[in-house]
Amino acid sequence: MTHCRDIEEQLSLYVDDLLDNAAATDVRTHVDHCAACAGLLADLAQIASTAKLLGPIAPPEHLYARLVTRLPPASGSGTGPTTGRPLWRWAGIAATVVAATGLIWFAIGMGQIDGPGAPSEAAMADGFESVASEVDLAVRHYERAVSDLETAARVAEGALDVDVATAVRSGLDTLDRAIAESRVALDADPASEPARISLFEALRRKVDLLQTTVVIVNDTNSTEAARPVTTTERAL
Amino acid sequence: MKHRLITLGTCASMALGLTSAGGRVFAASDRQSSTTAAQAAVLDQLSAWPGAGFPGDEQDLRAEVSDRQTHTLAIGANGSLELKTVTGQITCVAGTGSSATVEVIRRSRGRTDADAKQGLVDVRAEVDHKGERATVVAVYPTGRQPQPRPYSVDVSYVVTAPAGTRVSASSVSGDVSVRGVKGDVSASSVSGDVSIANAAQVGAAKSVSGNVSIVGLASSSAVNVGSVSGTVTFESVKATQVNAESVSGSISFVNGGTTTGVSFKSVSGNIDYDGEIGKGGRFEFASHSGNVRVTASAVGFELQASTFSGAIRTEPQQALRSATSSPRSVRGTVGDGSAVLVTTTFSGNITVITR
Repeated sequence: MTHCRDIEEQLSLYVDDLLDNAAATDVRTHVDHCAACAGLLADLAQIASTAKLLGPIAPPEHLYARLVTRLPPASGSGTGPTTGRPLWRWAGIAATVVAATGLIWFAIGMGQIDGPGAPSEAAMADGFESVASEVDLAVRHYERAVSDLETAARVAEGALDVDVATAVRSGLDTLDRAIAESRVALDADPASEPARISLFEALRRKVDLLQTTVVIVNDTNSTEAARPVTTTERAL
Repeated sequence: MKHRLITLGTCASMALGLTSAGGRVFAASDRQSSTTAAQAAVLDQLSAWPGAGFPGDEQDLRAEVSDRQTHTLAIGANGSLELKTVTGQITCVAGTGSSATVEVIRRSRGRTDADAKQGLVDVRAEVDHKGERATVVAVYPTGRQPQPRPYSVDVSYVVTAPAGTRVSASSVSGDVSVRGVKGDVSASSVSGDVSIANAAQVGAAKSVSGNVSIVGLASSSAVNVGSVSGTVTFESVKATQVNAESVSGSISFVNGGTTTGVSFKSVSGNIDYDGEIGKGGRFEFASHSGNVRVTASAVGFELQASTFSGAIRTEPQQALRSATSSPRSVRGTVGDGSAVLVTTTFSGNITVITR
């Protein structure tokens, strides 16, 4: 039986027609019977369609480097993932995050419609409405990626060293405030580029921090056999 | 006794974005890998955490024993050295010759002498040396324990390596310091500070709650630095691209390092860049609520500054040509406009000073 999580990782490739026949058939079979994945597929197809109209938006080079560090090595390579490797368990989420990150760059890029050849005011108004819609869509996808990580990280936080737990908790609070403030700002001014950039940067950093937290705890569980927990740490 | 190679250094490094594609990762368990049950796997591991429920406290560990061993590793003048530990410091300095010396210092504390001694028996540093590559990894006993082991063991490394050595060093709760090494350096700590001085290449330097400092770097490649709550400091740094991120920690770049590209991002931390704006480079500074201050020594740049609710100030104002400005956005050209300087904040103030 094919699980939604497995299919979600394939949807972007399916939309881009990059799957082989067998994998594409699996996707079609699944979405025929799964409303959630069918909805996600429709969203991705809509984004892809809109993106084609806009032309390419190149993310900065360092973004690729960041993404590469978060992607698992290709299977079958000599350094491929070992069965049971903690980080590997998060590859699915990471893949979703990568897709969401792409959407975010897309959404940020959509706001950058000024400069030479800028559209008319009427077109701008339509554009802003469209941008707001696409921003909402990108946020929804991002939040989907965040939700699993957030739940796991919240539970896992108690196993962290007190200094790290404090830093993580404080960081997440800071990020949540930034997200909330940016959202309020975007509600008031959907065309605000600084607000949009702040929102997506905060979302991206939140995913980064949650991933880091979960991986650290995963490994802490397997390695701290020789370090007794302190009262302070237990209190967390 | 079955041992497990410490994966924490490796995987914490991966979490911090430091692991290279060639990095070797060891199995932490024999469970079937599953991306569909990720959350369940974490919860499962948490329930099996051997440290949970330990009846004692750190102050109960009154007995202490230690051990020092020195390893001489003939890795050549440009070899590779990977150092991983969990609780312990790593200090690496450049030396001469073609061999690295690694002093492994193990310190075990227990409730009794016997417990402390057992810690040294159970916890060791595994040295693997093949040709020009050597790895030193803290190895802890593994397996589900009915109770946590009654000892605490620190494993620290004091290293002298040939100047051309590629060094990858990671600790979870200890400081990491690398000085004078001219090979590529990657360093990370979860709760400790990371400092790299007088290096030639820094692939990455990251911490979660610790500070990160890069001093005296002259690099022809990109530098990636990050912290969550700690400060990030660059001093006298020259590199083609410098990327830094923080959540609440500040990011500062001082003493006039030259770069052709910068990307500094924080959420609540301040960003302070005082340096050259290289011809043709792209310099991006973004913060949500932190203030951004750029003091630019430059041939020229196109300025794009925008904020949602902060203030924007440019000095001297007459340096900015063809300016379009509003309280929340300033655009214009300084000098020949050959570089691009983009600053964005949500509520933080922006100050751009040209000299």
